[in-house]
Amino acid sequence: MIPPGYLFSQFPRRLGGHSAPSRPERRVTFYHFIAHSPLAAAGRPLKALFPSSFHRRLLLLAAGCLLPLSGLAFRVGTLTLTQGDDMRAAADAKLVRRQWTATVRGRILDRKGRVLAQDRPSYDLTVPYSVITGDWAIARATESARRAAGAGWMDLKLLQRQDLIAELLPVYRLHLDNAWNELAARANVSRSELDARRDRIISEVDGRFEAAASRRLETALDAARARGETVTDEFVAALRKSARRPLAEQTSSHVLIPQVSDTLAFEVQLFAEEEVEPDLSRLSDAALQIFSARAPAPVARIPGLAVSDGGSRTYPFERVPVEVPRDTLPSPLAVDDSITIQVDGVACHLIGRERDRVFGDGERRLPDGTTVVSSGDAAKRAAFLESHPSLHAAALRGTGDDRGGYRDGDRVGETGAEGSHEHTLRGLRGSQTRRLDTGLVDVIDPEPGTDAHLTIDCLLQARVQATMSRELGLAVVQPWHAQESATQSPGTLLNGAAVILDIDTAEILAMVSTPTFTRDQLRDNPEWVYGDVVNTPFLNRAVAKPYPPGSIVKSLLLADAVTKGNFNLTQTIECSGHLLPDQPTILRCWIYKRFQRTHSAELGHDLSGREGIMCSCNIFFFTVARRMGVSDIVDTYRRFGVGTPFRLGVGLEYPGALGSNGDGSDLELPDAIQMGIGQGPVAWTPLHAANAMATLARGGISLPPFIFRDSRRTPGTDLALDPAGIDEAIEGLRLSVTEELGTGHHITVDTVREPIFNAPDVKIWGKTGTAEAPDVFTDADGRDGPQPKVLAEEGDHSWFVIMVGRDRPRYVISVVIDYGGSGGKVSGPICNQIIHALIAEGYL
Amino acid sequence: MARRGPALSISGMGASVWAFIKGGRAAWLTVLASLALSLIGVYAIDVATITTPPDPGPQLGPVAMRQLFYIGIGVTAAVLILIPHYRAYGFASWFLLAAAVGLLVFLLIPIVPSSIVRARNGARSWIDLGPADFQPSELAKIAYVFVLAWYLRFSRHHRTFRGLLPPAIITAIPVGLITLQPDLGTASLFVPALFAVLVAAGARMKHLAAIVLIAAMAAPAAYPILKPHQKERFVGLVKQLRGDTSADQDINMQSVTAQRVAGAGQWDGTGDRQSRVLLRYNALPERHNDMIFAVLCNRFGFTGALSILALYALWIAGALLTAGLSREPFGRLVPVGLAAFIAAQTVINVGMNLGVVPIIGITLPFVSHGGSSMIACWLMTGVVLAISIRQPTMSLRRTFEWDDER
Repeated sequence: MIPPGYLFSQFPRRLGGHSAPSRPERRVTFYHFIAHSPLAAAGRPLKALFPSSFHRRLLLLAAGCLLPLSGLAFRVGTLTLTQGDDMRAAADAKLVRRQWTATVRGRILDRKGRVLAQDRPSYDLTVPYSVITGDWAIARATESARRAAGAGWMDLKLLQRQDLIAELLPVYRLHLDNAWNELAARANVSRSELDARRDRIISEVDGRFEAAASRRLETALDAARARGETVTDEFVAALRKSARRPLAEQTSSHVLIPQVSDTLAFEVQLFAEEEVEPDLSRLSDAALQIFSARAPAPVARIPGLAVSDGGSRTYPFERVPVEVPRDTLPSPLAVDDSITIQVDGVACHLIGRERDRVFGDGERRLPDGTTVVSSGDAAKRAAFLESHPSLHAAALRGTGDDRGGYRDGDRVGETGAEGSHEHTLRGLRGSQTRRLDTGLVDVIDPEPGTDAHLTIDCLLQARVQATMSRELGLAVVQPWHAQESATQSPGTLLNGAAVILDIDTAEILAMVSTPTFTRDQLRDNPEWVYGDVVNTPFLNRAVAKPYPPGSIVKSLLLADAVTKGNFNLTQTIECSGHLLPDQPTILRCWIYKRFQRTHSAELGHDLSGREGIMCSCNIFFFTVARRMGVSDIVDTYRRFGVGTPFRLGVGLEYPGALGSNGDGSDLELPDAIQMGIGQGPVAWTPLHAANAMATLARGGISLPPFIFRDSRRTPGTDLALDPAGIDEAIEGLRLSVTEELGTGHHITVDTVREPIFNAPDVKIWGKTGTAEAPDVFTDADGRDGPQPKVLAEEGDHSWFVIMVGRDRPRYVISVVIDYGGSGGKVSGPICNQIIHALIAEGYL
Repeated sequence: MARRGPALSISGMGASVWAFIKGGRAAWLTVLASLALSLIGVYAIDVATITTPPDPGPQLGPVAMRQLFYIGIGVTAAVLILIPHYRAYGFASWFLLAAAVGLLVFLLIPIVPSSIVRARNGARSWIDLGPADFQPSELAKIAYVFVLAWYLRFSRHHRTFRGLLPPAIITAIPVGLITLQPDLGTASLFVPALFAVLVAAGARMKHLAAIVLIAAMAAPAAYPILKPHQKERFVGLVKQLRGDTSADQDINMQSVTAQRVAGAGQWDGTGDRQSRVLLRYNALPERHNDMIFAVLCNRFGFTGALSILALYALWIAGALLTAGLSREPFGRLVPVGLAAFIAAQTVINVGMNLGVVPIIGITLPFVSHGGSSMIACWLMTGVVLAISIRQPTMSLRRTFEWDDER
């Protein structure tokens, strides 16, 4: 601010300028602005204190030194106080070296203690790639040359350095040669074999490197062109150089001696780790002189040798030969001698498998091509540990880290028992923690995984699978199946599922789904397992595929209708062939549809409850369903388990559905009528069928079935069914098998009737079902392609659910054959063979 | 002045000693700080170099003993430099600088064999004197301060913008030669010294501000001239300040390790045994010279680090007070220049240790291991003391008091 008076004083007085008091003439300088600014006002006491301008400048300099020092003090505070704890922990961590020791994965056992899956530990000896190629020798020679030259290294020209390295190279080459000899001797392979393996590894890695480098170059060039950059020769050269950066395989270790015993592995490791001075005997004098000043650094006897876990998991019962007597087969197939059927992939859906990669979070590409976003294995383990605090504590004990956590190279259980029991099968690693300063080693032993016990009997399972094999012929379209579907020509292999449930304990004794697959098949040809949309081998039909219940449901409906009062046991219902009197083409009984007859005519009287079941009369059950109405029928299905998942722990399950939105809220009476015969908007699985039948057999006590011995079991619920209704239903089931008019009594071969069941001294109660199934189409070029879709499967699913026991119902056998057609004709003989299997395995 | 009595009387000597002590005044702060820092440095070097001290009882390892030896030489040199009147150094300043420049040139001559000039870490900064090495740039610092102070002592010319040119040229010669070694770190210390001396001598703040502004704007243009490893360090620092840990395993390893080790000291440091162990297994490079402050932080924690910084502040305060109490222009400027060197070196080295400055090879005065550095630092202390004890009783003329700053 210029002093106001100053301006005025510049005007000559004759022009009206003020007569300002005279001031000394002074040029206005920048100084004036500062001098009259507030800053200067603050400085005035300073000036009073330090009259010497030199002293004030010294103060300025002092402040200039103090400021950065204070800043540094603040920074020290940040590091030591704010971040001090973290820093201290990080610094302390450097004092500790931890090594994990492998553990053994738990086994999977069946109900009789047979081992279905177990680890077979073995060890591989690995050596770094640079040692395999011999580049290690050059690196060590270079290092030795530097050490020997000491301070003069920087002054040497490149050629002199190379000469020096060349002088020292033979020492390390010799050392490597000795190392290979030692390794070969200890591992009991010939030196030439070892060299051959080395060459194989080198050529494989080199091949991969070249492929990767050219791929990288292509990708980079494409990206550059896409970005619109000009591609000059120098650019390409630079890209090529960057594309030739080392591959992971060139810096990692490779297996040279696989599958050695643990004693040999650790003996070799101890030997290899020992450090010795390299053998100088073959050096020239000049080179010896170089080393005279400073001895060469000691090197390990076999540089870089490490022991890695090469263990594998074996599945002893994956392939089981089953001897099946054929004298009890239906007559067209019956012969006196038995056949040995090699059953592959026994219980493959139930046991599951492992994969050898640990997945991180994010998107994954499934083998069938779809991508799925999911959390990784580590996240899943964290969630598991959170819900199992005692296991969490055990895992953290000793090291503070999760000893069962995932590390590179771990195998992870994926499906079935391997997947659902992954975190208990895994076990806990051991650790060896060595403190570098004290040398103390803290050892924590590994804990092997907990075994998983299945309630399955795997030999029984194999026998059941054998009954459904092509070799036996029962699951193949036969002339006596009276198959009417266009897609199921004679000789076609049929797929299906079978479940055996113990009524008293609700244990699942067998659960078969065909087709099955072996782990080798999955590894070699995943396309076949995942890509076949018609046969769907990966699907566990017993619990994961929706089926229309068909006539199976009739006995349940009868019992519940009696309970709810919709049907009185003294009543009878007429089978008139079609439900609606004036519409003979819809809602027909099957006997009317096929033979234009009625059950009332066949029996000579209207049907009682048990007769309705025996004949599997549709009109009877349409009527009952109409009486029950939507809400009662929905309630019946619900109480018998439709809509509730079993959560067995063997993978994905289909919980059953009612109506389009699953809970039956959108159903109308016509739907209910259809559901009376197990068709319409309702679906369940073979396990639901077995479970419902078992509930009936228990007198209305619903016990959730389980497949793992240690499943957390909920207590049963009493459905409070009318005992008389139950008895009537069970009697109906008995008649269905024992009476000529029963649908489960006989098959007709060339107009001759032969009984389905021929096992001695067993009582059987059962219900057939022939359920209309939805068509399956395949479209070779996808939905949008020009080629039309092709009908692959159509027809009816063949159901037979029986209860069997010596004197009272002990086991439920639930069999469904996809698109097999008639329940009695197709599934019946299979059920019969399963009864023989139960007898053979001692259950009956 | 001392009483004229019998030349060698006890009371006469006592009086001389008393006069000496009184004459030291503020410079004793500097001497105290130097001594404290030197002895702390010996201990720190021992902690850094010996992991398990031998039982029984404390003994110093060989490197620490060597440092003690250097301190001895340094103190001796400081005492010797007290003998002549400091004015002599002023008179001889140009010759001293010429000698230093000559040695610097000698370092750079390519035909000099490596038995005499050994390149260390790629820099030709050392002359091999057999049992020890000698770094001429350290002496160049002191000679430079003498020359600058001597030149500016009666000058008014530096109050103009053009008058700043001669000091700049005086600075450029040693800086250029040192940069060519290459030793960018040491060279960069000369600039703060120049500025400090100019400020003390009364150069106009606006001129200096303008120069700083121009330099700041021109600095980015200098980036391409940097050597690749220097650029790498700079990039590494930027990454670190941003919290990007990607370079933590290679370029930033030294800095990150230093910060971790320093931070691990927490409030009052880890114990003696624990500190040795931590330093060994955290593999802090150069921990007995460049990174010695991180060692001190680790051993003595926040409180210790603050005390060390306070000791440096004490040294600087002592020098500036000496300058303030000095009544004679040469004596007013020399301590300022020396303090600036010490301050700049300390700030940069500590900054390096704490991860706010890129790693350039600068040692911590008095504490880091090294003979040349120790001797040079004690010489500086000696010069400050010399200036303090030999002040005239009244000023000959008003020096560096400018009318327009009244």
